[in-house]
Amino acid sequence: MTKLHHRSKRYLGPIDWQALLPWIPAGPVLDAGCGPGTVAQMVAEHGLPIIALDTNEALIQTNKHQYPAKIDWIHGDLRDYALPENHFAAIFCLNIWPFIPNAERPALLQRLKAAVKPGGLLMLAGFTRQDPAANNTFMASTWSTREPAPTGILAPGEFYQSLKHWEIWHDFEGQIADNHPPGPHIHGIAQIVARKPVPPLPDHIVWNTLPFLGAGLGWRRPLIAMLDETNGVDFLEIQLDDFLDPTYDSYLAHILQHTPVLPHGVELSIGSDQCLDPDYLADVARVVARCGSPWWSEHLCFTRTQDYTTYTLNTLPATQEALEQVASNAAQVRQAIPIPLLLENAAYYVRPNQAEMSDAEFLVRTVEAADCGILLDVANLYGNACNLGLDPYAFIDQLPGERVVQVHLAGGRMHRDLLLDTHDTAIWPETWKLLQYVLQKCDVRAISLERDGEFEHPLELLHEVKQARQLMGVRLT
Amino acid sequence: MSLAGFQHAWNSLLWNSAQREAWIKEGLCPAADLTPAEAAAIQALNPNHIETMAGISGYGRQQMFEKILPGTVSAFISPEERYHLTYQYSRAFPARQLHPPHRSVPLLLEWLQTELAHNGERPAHFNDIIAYESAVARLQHFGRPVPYTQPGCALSPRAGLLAAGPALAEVLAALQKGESVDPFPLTPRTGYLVYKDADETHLESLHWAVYLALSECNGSRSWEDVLVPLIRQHPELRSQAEALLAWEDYFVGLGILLTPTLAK
Repeated sequence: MTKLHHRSKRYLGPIDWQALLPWIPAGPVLDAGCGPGTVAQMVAEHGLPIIALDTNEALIQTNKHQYPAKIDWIHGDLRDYALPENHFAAIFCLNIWPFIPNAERPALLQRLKAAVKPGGLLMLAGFTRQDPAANNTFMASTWSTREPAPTGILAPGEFYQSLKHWEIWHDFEGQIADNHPPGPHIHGIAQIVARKPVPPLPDHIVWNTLPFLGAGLGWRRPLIAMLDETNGVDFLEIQLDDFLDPTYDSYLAHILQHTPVLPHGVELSIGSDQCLDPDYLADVARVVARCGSPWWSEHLCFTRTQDYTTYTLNTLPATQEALEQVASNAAQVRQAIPIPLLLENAAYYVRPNQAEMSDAEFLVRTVEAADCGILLDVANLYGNACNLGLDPYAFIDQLPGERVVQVHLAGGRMHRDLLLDTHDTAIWPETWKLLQYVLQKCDVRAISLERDGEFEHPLELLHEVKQARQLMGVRLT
Repeated sequence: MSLAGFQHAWNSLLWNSAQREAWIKEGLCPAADLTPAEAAAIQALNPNHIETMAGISGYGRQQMFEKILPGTVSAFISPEERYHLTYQYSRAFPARQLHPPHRSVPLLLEWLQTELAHNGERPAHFNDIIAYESAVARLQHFGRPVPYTQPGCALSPRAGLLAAGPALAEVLAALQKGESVDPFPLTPRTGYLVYKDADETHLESLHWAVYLALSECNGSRSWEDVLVPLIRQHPELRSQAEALLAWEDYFVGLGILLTPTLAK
């Protein structure tokens, strides 16, 4: 089906540029032709790494002096500047086009397009032939000496034609009224925001090519003071549902300046007997793209049905039907979020005796059918073993070692005859023993500790992270 | 066991205390669409463990409710009442999610206002606070650009309007400090603009005519076309026509009024 293209009647101002910053994925941003640095400063304040480039050396020096924020100010001509392919998360290239000779524009546009990474954004703005000043004022103001003026005037629909195979988020073209010295006048302007298509995940993920991340800790608000730049963890794991509101994107971007982040979700409900919520998937995709992590994770469970939302991670029956439903939902997830997904074995305390296969077989066959990795929560495994009489070592023996990418550790509490997954105590000795067994059998890339209560002794948590790292035998930071 | 049948039975046991009780005491199966073998498997579950699970689920729901309810609203509702309201809300809308808050809070507050209107006396400022928090919860500064195709001007998603007592800012400050709001007047009713930028939420009281004009900005008419009938209706505004027109640039500059930028 052909996608309808709606041209906007409104051009975007600085507030609108700021509003879309959460949709810029992880990676460096380039402000090509930064001028006084308005956009660059905004991007830096949001927490994103930025390179700001301009031909005006005096302006660059002034910007360096005025904006001490983390901005890489560079004096240079965009046409001579190296633009590595698939490198930038976003490129702003606003109103430099009068200074680029017409003959050079197509090649430069191609270079800019190539330099944006998949999923990244390209923001362009320039003056068009509709601009009454196109043939006179620009002549005087153009300092390009490579081509006789007038130069750098966009043809109608030129940006759109150049980017029509991308996802167009905003397209404005027309005359606008402006009022700055020498007085009221008209401009002809074109402006576009486009997202570079993301290739789909390969048919089969090669799990042992994922990077080692080391030992990390779940990010929680009470731990903020401890989790500064010298926190002693190799990565932080966020509950991504806490960051779905883009208001929190800047906070997350600042965390990412000093620590890698793995996103871990709870509300996907991949085992629901229905399609997943596309709005929710879009929100998750944005947070995952911000983290730039090599994978993300969720729970093999259901949290809601058409009739109920439960706020708990509910077990699935170990049946072929449930397995196929998860695989079908995972295919939908893969379309929306094209990085590997790990599924975590959830904690459960009771289940009806109607299984068609063992717990381990259900997990293994499900992740194989869905082409997902495994986030093995060793504490859940131990709890399930206690509560349901399973053999956790036999469970581990059945797992495909190359798919066990990440491990969770946490403490729990006994409540009557059940071991509950409360995440508010030290890790049980039996869980540590199980971890050692997992590390002998599986190709674990990351271990993270989860703590949701009893934060009085945060240094003990860091000690547990250190202990996990030592068992893993790697130190990456 | 069919996935749908299992999920339905499981949810009923966890969420519906009456069904759970009937299942425990009388052996009534919580779902009608199960085979006899499936029903027997459900029947064999340990009631104590199901009670524990129901408790965990209820606790999760309560925590989420407390987390998303604005503090200024919580100040008017006792902890016991909040506990009951959580239960009532989940009974009224069992499928509705409380996460993420920027989507769920406006709906929750709307329900809360209706529910509490029939549920005992509230301090006079309660409805003003609900109106304020509902407006704030809907605000979105960040967002992907959406093509603007309207012929006239419209309030942007980062702005909202409400009417409240004349000392709303002071009422909010008092609530945040845990102080009484009784001394603050409720009249004259005043129009407010709330808007959000990257860092904070702003509250501004408006001239009544500006409030009315902004209320009319639904994308169909220009700012000027909104003002003309308003001034005709209220002749006392004639002397302020120029000043009223000038508000447009201020609101557009703040990014709270969207307007076509194509030159006529």
